[in-house]
Amino acid sequence: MTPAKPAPEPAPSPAPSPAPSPAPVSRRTRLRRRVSRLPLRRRLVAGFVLVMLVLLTSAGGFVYWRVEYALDRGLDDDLSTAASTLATRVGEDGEVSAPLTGTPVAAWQVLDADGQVLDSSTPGEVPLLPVTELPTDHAAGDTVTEDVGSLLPADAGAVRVRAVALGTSGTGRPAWLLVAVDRAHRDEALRELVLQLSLTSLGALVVSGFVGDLLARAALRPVERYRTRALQIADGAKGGLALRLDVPPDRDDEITRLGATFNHLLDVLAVALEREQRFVRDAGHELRTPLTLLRTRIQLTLRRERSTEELRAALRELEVDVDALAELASVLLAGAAPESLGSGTDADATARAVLRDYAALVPGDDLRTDLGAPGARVSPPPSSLSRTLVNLLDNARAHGAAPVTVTSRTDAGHYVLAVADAGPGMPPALLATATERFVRGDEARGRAGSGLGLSLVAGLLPPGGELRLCQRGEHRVEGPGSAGAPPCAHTDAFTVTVVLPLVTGPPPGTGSGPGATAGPTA
Amino acid sequence: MDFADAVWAAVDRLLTPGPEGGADDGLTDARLAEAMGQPLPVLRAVLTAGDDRFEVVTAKGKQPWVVRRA
Repeated sequence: MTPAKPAPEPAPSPAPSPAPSPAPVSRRTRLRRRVSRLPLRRRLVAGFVLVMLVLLTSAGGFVYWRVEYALDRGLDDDLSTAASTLATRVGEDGEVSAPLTGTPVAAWQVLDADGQVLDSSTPGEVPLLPVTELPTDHAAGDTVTEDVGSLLPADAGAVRVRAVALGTSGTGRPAWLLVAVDRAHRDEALRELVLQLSLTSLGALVVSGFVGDLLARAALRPVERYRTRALQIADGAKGGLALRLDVPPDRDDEITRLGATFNHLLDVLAVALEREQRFVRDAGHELRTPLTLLRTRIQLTLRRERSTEELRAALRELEVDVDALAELASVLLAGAAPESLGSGTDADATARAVLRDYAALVPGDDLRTDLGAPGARVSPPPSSLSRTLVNLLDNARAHGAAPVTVTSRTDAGHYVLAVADAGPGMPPALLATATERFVRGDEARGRAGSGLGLSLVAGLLPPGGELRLCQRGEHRVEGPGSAGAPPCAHTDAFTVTVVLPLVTGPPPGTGSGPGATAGPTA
Repeated sequence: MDFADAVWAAVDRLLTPGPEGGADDGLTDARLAEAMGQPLPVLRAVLTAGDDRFEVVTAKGKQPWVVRRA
């Protein structure tokens, strides 16, 4: 028998951990945050001034280095001349046989290896250079050049000293010849140069900061103008979404491109808002009738006691009304749905599919087709093109007369789809307004329908597309259209024509990217 | 008063001689629709249900319907 294992003790619950302390922030991060909080204009100016400071300092340093080099070279020439002359006059005891005259040399000394002055131009002086600063391992002719005395602050006794090794050693024997020239003029010139460079750089920094501020203000002024205008639009200023940023048309820089993009965004928003408002208006307008009809039928049914058969009949009427209501809602939703332009729809293939389905609704020879644009591609998606053709066919069946003829062709870079019927057409007054919403002919008022069909077709037109209503030589054109659209080519029968720009480039699915809409070719 | 009552009241008013109505040859549904600001299908639904005080002459298609006193 296995002894029972003792039940494990419950693990002590972990003590609540203290709230994590914020990670230490480095000074660099703090500085970066502080700088990032500054207005963009100040950051631009600060960056500009900083760059100018680096440039001016570099340029000043270079100029100082070149001037100092040139001045030192002059002094070194004097030192070389004097040293070479004096070196030949130093005797073995360190005495100079003839003093140096006619040179700019300020002083000279002869030292032994221990640093004792054996001879000098001015007796009693301390060595111009301590011998400890001179190399112990040297050969005759070795030279060491040192500046004694500071440039800043100004030192009145500043000299440039050259030590020339004489090649002998031992106490009392000449080991070094020291020659010094006065640095007063050289230092004065350098101090003046530093002063001039400092003043010039300071002035340049002030000017560059001022100019940078002006440039930054000028560059950012359109941004501020855009921001103010955008705020007005957002706050519902008069004009609302019809307002646009004032973008100069003759400029193409980053800011104007931003403004143009913002305006394009406003265009898209305005279209979306208009579509939404139109949907609400349409829905309210069009749903009112069937809903009133429904309510009226219900009220009429409830006015008195009804038999079961009468109630059935009333319900059947209500079902018809509800079906019409549902269809109307579909039409309204279709008109409100945004359509995105595709990369190329096979127009004839789409039309053929619609006509195949539609033929089942039309008896015998009442629907005739002649599609003559195989492979023609247009930008509206198949759903949009199908809806367009169905609406035109519905109109022809409802208001025209058989036979209804559907033809297609390509002409001048456009796809031309025409639906003609043998009916009497429209009265001239109606033809002028037929593409407006809810416009219906007198003969159509007693029938089902919303008066939205042609307006939907017009609303589905892509850029460069046209909707034409033609009869007996009269043409009404709707839509953006394009200058190269082909002329009408049909009989005097009532004909509704949709003209769409052809899409060029490889067909979709070939991996070569979307096609481009063909421009006018006429 | 429901909608049907309102329609018949309007018919009665428009058929009564006076500034608004009194047409001898009856009242068309289009005139009624214009006077009431209501769509034709709704009015025709009410007219189809009928009223003892009035006679409704229906028609097909775009032909107008006419209402007269019974």
